[in-house]
Amino acid sequence: MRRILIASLILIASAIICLCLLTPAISAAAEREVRIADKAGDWGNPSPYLAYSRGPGYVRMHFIFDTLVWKNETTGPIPLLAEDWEYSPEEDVYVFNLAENAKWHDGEPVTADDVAFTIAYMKEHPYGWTVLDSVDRAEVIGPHTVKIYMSGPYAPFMEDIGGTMPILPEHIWKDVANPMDFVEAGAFIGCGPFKYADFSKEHGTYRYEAFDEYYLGRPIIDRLIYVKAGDPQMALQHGEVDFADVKPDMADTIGGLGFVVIEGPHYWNKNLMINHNREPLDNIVFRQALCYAINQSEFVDKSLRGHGKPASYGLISSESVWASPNVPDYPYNPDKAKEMISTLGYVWEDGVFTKDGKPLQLQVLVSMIGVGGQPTPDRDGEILKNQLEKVGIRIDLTSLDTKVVDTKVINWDFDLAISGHGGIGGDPKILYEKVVQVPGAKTSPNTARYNKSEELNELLDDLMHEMDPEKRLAAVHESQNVYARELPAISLYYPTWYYAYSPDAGVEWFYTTGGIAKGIPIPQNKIALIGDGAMSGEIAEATETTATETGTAAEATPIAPGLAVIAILTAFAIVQMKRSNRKP
Amino acid sequence: MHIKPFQEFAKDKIGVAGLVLILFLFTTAILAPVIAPHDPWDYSASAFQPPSREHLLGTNDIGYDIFSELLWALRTSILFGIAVATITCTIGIVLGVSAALIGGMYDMIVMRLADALLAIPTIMVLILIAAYFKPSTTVLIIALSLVLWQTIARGMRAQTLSLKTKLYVKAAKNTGAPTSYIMYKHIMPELFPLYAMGFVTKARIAVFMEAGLSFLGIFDPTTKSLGIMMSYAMRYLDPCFGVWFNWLLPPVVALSLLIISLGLISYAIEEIFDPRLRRNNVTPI
Repeated sequence: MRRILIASLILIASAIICLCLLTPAISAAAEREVRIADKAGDWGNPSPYLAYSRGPGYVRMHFIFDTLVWKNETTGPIPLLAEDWEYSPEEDVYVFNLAENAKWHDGEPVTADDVAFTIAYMKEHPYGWTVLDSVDRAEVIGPHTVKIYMSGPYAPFMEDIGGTMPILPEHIWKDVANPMDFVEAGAFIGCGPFKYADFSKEHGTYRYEAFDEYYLGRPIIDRLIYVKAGDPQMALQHGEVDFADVKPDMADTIGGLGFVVIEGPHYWNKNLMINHNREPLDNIVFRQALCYAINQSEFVDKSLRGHGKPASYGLISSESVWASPNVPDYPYNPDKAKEMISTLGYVWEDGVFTKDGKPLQLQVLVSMIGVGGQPTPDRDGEILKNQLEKVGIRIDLTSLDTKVVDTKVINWDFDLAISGHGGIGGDPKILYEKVVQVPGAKTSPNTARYNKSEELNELLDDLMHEMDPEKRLAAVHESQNVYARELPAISLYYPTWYYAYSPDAGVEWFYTTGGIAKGIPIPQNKIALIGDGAMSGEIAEATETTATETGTAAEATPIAPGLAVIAILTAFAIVQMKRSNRKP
Repeated sequence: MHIKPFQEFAKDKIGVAGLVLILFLFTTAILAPVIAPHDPWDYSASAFQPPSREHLLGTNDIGYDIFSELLWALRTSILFGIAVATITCTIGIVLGVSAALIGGMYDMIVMRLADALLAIPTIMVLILIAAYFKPSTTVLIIALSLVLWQTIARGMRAQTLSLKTKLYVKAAKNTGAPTSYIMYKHIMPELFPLYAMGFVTKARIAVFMEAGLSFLGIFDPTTKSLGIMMSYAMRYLDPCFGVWFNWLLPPVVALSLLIISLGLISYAIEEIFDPRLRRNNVTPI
């Protein structure tokens, strides 16, 4: 009896070993999964109102929710939910024709009513990424045609609203009174290429499943997963993820290991906020002297070790299509800076400028804010202090919590503050947003709130409302020139970002032109996961190759030795049973 | 006092080891401006240079000479430790002894305040102060001293209460000696072991706190500090940089040695003044 029991246990063990050996082979062959590493992990629930209002939060949400139009690697706007559109200057309306086969993840069709509803809903419940003051109303003129009436000319409409506003399903959201509290399953029903599967705030993980009935075709992968990794680059090297950001100094090493390294465009700006309400910073000559005293190249060489480039003083990225060709420049010239400061009544005494016996002293606030909002200490404060002290300005460098620095800047309780923001590669509306406080919008610590130049105000007004492309471009160029002369804030440098992905995963990631939506400089555009155009052929081909390779790899898994072990165990079990039967 | 503390200390190997170590570190820190081969704020050298004759521990990410930075960082830590320990002990002694001698409502208020401070996690208070106010070194020294005095005050009060009942104190009182005389002549000298131990213990805590706060990045960024050095070095731990042994290890070792030396001294002092802890203790019959 005991031997029968032993024999049975051995047989069960054999069966379990057999299953364990076969399962990975089966799953590897059947599923295509992409895993992305992220250091922070939690960016909020992937629903429009619940995702954190930072770039990574929007990116987590954009896989589930589609907008009317979109951008890819080279151009924008391109059709997404809207197949085509038209702008009528006479009526000041946009007409959008939607994809007729688009469906929500619960199977309901996407109609023009949903678009009209979204606009009405977001006007009533403001959504952080899009301000709809420029839109009057939306009218449904067919099951898949919607007409959007503007309240006045608004030049950034296509990128700012058309390409950023996620469309909500009316049949779910019509009963939602407070969107910030809506965390039911319906909050994650969109019409994007991926369905929501899981989100863990504690673990900082996201899981999405491909939406089979997506109107642009099923995504080329089955599952997309975000995992929280203390060191994303290590996770990539160990094969735990397929895509991660890499440290600039490590980019070449990672490239040498067979990963594809993508170098980002310079759409993020490290800048120096200025309190232009305080003496002597209220003087335009003093601000220009600061520029001559600042050596941008030294920031790039020392703080970034060459992985970046000096910024344009006109705010818009020098790599943007909107960049002005003749922005005033301030080449490093400490002597000229000293000369300019001395014209303001300051006297040079023992290496420091003084006025009325008081030394020229400024406080510089620094915080832990780093590239892309990630908290990293940097050397910028030390370098700035060194450079400004060389021209006789005594610097009191103060390191505070990011939120405290933001609050002090918003309350004008500062002299200079080192800060940073993105969006300088997208629509030039950023110039307006970073100079003027948009009425009704929350005060941003990166907005200079500068209204001392009538000329700049008029140009910014043209930039926002000029619908003629050529005239608008001229206004954008001139705005940058005046900005660089007035200097509401001083741009320091653009860091270079590097991401790396494994080519085996079959996805070719890219940086979106002007950044995702309103200018998010993260190379995780959902278009890379959708098979469309010539690129999709290559991707599909690459994916097939990968699948075949995976299959081969699965075949190569050590099943043969496993089977040998099972055979031995089974034989042993049979012998045991026979011996047990022999006994009376 | 029936113990000859200096002779006893000289016999204690652990204490002597700690003292030698702390004297070495102390001398190095004092002589930092002379010994340091480079200006620790000069970043003109190229980044990530390996150790060489020119740069004994190489250079860091921005081009600072790591050896010079280490010497100046040690100076900050020691200065911070001594300053905090001095202020803390002064507050603790004054409040503890006066509470015991004056008694009544004053005693109750001081002791309840000490109890309340004991319940507050020090590091949290410091992080809050550092995050919301300008965290200059002086501000942090004062802030830390204001939250660390309570254990010293309690010890001082207990010992003073015990001394008050001694016959010679009563005798002095009966002969008409004023309280200040009794305090100065009879009480304060008897409290010496508590000062010494309190000073060393608080210095150790302060050194550790300073390194911790600067590691978290809420300290004056231009000050040279062991914590700031570690914080930056931790960002370049990847083997490709190969800087952990010449950049991360030196501040870690320096901080460890500093804390260990203070710990050894504290241990030796405690052993000298507390007969129960002596290893060669022979209980008299």
